[in-house]
Parts: sequence; C-alpha cells; structure tokens
Amino acid sequence: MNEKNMWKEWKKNARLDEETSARLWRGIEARLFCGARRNPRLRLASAAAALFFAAMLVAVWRSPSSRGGGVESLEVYSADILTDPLGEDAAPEAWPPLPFAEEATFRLDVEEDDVEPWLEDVWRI
Amino acid sequence: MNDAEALEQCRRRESGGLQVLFERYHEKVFRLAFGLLGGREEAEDAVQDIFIKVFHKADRFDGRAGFSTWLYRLATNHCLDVLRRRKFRVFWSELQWKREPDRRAETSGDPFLQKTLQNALQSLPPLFRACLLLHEVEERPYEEIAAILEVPVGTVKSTLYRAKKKMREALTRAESMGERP
Repeated sequence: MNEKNMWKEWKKNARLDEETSARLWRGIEARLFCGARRNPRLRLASAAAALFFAAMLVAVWRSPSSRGGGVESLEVYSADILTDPLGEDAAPEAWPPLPFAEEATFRLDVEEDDVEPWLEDVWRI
Repeated sequence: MNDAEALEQCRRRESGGLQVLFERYHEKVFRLAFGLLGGREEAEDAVQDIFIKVFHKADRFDGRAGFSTWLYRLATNHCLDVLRRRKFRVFWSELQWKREPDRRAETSGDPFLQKTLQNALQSLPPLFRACLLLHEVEERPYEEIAAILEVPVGTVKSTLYRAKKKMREALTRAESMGERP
C-alpha cells in the first residue's frame, strides 16, 4: 500500500459522526455559558484523593516520631514498664509474693546415662 | 461569516462565532488530536478544551498568521501538554473506576489496517507524529508546519524524513510479526 492510500485509510477512522459532534458542541456551550465542569467524575476522584493525602499528612504530623519525640516517648514507655511500682528503695519485705512457692525446686528427670556426651558440657552449665 | 468575523464575536463573548469556527474546524482538530493522543475519548476531550481555549484566547490572535495556523498551534500545544501529563493520568486512571468501553461503531474502512496504522503512528515520538499528521493528513506546507510547531523549516523537513522512515520500519515490524500491513 502506498503512503497516500495509507493516510486515506487512517483518515477514515479519524472521523466524528454527527451525534458526537453535536454532543461535543453542547459540552462546550455548557462549560462556557452554564458553568459546567469538565469531567465531573475525574474532579470527584481528585477531590477524594486530595482529602486522603491531607488526612495522611495530618496523621504523620501528629505522630510522635515526626515531632522528634520518638526516642523520648520510647524511653518513657520503657521506664513505665521497668520501674518498680513500689519505688526503687522499697525493702524486699514489701515486695509482692512470688507466684510460686519459694521452696519449689526444678528437677530434670534425666538419667546420667541418657545424656549424650556432647550434651555434658551444657548439662554442667 | 469568515474566520476573522467569527473570532471577533468570540472576543465579544458571543457563542455564535465560536459555533461557526467549531463547525468549520472541529473535524480537523479532532484528526490532529486523535493522531497525537491515540484514543477517541481523549481526542474528543481535547477538541472541547481546544475550542474553549480559542474562545478565551481570541484576544491574543494578532492576525500575523492565518487563523487555521493559530488554531493548529493551539491544538498541537494542547495535545503535547496532555501527553506530558499522561504519566500522571495513567496512574490515576488505574485508581479510578473503569470507564465504559467505547461501543460506538468504527467508521468505514479496514479496522485491522487502521489499528495497525494507529499503532505504528503511536510508536513515534510526539513531534514526529505532529509533523507527519500536519503534512500527510492535513496537507499543510512546510512553512506553515514550521510556524505551527515554532521550529525552523529545515527542522520540519528533517523531522518529516525521519518520521516517515520510522513509520515504515514500524509497519514492516508489524508485518513481520504476522499483522497485515
């Protein structure tokens, strides 16, 4: 196919029917003289996306780490866990009872012969 | 009503003038937009945007070039802007709900060949596409294409030569891949 015919063929596809032309003109009139907006669905999606990103920004801004307080707040949290609720100087008598009997012993029911030679060191430890 | 009178009406913010210009040129603008952007819906949106720009920018037309040259320049610049923004738009379109497929009947001709031609055209860089469409489809002379694209005439000629070569290569490639030429 020569080039002239090729472009003629292409032009056949690049046409607008009357109905589409009329619709396009009505769209132009509406946008120019009736204040209609282009592609309202796209605008709605853009507005929703903008709101989402704004919410994300606020969430990041409000988080402790974004204010440089991340390490500090972690320290406070750790301190809350580790601090003795009775105070650092409380006598042992004031400590709450242990959840098991003090005399309780733990024994492993293992005969010496059962211990593998390579486990002996571990056993002694 | 000639183009100058129609444009004068646009300056006075009367819709009659714009309607005349739309009736006279919207097919040409659509062809250019369709060739540059590659899709019907995008090209239809572009036609609306371009004629709205004509209405708003009618004051800026100084009459040094013909109206059609000015309109083609406006249309080409608009489509190149759309292409620049396309990456972002592609990202968004994936997030949006899918549009209804275009079920309108294609116009006459061989749809397979037209698709192959359109694919080959879309494989070219935008400036190549603009040169080819303005020269081969709209049959504009080199000087006018140079004025539309705001490049020297020599650049138009060399770009056209390279664009035609690339188009032939793309069509040959399509043929070798089993598609009809």
